[in-house]
Amino acid sequence: MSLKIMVVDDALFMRNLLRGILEEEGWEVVGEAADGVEAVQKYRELKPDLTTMDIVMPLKSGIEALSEIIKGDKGAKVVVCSAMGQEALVKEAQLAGAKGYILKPFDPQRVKEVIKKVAGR
Amino acid sequence: MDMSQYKEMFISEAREHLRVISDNIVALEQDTADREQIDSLFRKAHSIKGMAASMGYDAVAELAHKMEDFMDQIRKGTHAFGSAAADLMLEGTDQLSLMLKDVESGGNGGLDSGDLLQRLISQLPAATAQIFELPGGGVFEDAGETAAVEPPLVLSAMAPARSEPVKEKLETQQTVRVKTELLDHLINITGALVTNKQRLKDIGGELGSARLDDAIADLAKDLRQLHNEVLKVRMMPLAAITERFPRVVRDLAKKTGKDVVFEMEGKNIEFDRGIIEELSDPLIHILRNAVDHGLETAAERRAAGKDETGRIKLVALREKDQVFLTISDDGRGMDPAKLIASAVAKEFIRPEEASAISPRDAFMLTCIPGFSTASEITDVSGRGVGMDAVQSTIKSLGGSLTIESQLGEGTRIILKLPLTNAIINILLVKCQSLIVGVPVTNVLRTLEIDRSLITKRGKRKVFYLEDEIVPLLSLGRILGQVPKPLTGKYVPTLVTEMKGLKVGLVVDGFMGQQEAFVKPLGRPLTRLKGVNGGAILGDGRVIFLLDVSNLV
Repeated sequence: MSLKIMVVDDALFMRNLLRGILEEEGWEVVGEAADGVEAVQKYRELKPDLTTMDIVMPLKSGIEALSEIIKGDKGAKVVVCSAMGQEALVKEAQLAGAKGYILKPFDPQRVKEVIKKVAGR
Repeated sequence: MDMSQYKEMFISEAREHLRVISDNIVALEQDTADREQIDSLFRKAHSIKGMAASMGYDAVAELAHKMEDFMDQIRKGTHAFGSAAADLMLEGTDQLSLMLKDVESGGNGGLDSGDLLQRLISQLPAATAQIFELPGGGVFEDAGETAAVEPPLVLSAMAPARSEPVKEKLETQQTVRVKTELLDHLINITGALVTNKQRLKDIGGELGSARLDDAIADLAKDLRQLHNEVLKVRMMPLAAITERFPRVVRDLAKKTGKDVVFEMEGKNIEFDRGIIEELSDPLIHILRNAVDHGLETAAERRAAGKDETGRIKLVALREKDQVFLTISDDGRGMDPAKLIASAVAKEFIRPEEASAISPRDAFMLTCIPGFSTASEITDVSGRGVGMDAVQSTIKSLGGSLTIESQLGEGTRIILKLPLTNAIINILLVKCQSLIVGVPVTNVLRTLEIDRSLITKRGKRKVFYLEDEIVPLLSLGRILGQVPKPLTGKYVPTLVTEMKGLKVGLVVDGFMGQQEAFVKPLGRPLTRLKGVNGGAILGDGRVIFLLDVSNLV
């Protein structure tokens, strides 16, 4: 399954780590964004098959960005990235239209499973 | 998954986050309600937590997590950001730095944080009960329907405030890492080329071939470009050393019980690596002086009708190929009369010289080694390095230092620095059979003094430069040559500054100015006082470069 993915996280380290996991599976990371504003803008330009979206970010939170993306593209497949202990945010993301979630620290197997499932729908 | 490939990136990004955190804390102390800073602080702690957890550095992640939770309380308004909070967060920042060092040297950051964690936890509400636990990832069955059924939980408690945007994006542009050694090689090779160009120019002069001269002129143009590019690669922003400064000022202010606001401007201005590495200590010394001696206590300031909070500012400004670094305070200022009296009492100057000293030169007296008295030395400013050390470092970099001060209003120290000191313009000076180079930046002017205008003051020869009395020294004598009486009607002299005072150096002649590639001297020549390096002239001759400020 070939997939075009956009990775959104304010930490370069996290973007690289996710890129590593995704590329291992043969998926293509078509773009990266480091904050919510950039995420919305790049989503429009790149139209990725799937987006991973960090929640706590500067300028615009991942949840706000997610809502805006969904507003412009009802079928957008966004998987939010959150951290242990922030389950409430994951719930909020679900209400905003996220299709799945992955928790930091990432378990590469789990990340790939979630992406496959969300992308396959 | 092999995580070691991410380690270096983890360390450098975590360090960058810590630096921002430290800035945030210091800024918050000055404006405790600054929402941007609070949000940024929270996000950075959050990021470090996530990154450290991913790398499996549990102790790092745990500490960052508690700092994040603590900041979340402040975000929510449960806690105010007072100085206790600042101390606690700074302590956490320091501990995280130590942990990163441990990671860097092969550990996992698992250092003992003492009771720091407990103290952070004690600031958190007792029940931070998890609402529910989730596995490491999952897929939502159908977002739309769920939304309709379940009410939103803890909405936007963690969402960043929608206030002014914060610009702190990390550059994602393509970069490569190179060893600093390689950068040194590059400048060495460029320097050798510059030397060779000079040689060709000399030969061209002898041959009188217009075609050769043209070719050399083109070569010189290309070389200049190469030189510029190589220098660009070696450039580092001032920010590389200033990150500690807010913290230094803050800690010292705290220790001396003073209220201080510290501001910096122009942190992005870039210098050659060789310069930036030498600037940190002098700047810290000046900042410490400003807090410790420059600023008054809150009570003194109140009595003087000033705002109780003192201000210190570090501003960098670039002008062509020079940078002006100005450190100013709005403290008590210096009294030139007192400085002069003190210099006379300590026999640095003779009483009869005192009246001739301008206020500007009086301030420079503070740069005389041993000028500051024991009573002025407090445990914070310390002994050892004084303004004399600061000045000689700045001079050895080819820069200069001036002091301006207004009694009751404050002091300003201005450092004028070159952007680079690897390839510089030098003035070639003849001194009997010896040729030496003096960095052009250290030459105030060159003149030929009419011998009849040289007079004596006590045992010393002096001359008038405009209205100023300037002592004359023989460069030959300083360099250990056999003294020889002044003949000729005109005496070639170069005016420079030594220990803050103008001095005329008598030489045998000037041989023009040229570009030179400065090479550091090897041992044991490094111990020679007043000599800063060497350079090779176009004809292959090796010359010494004088560090005039340290000649005597």
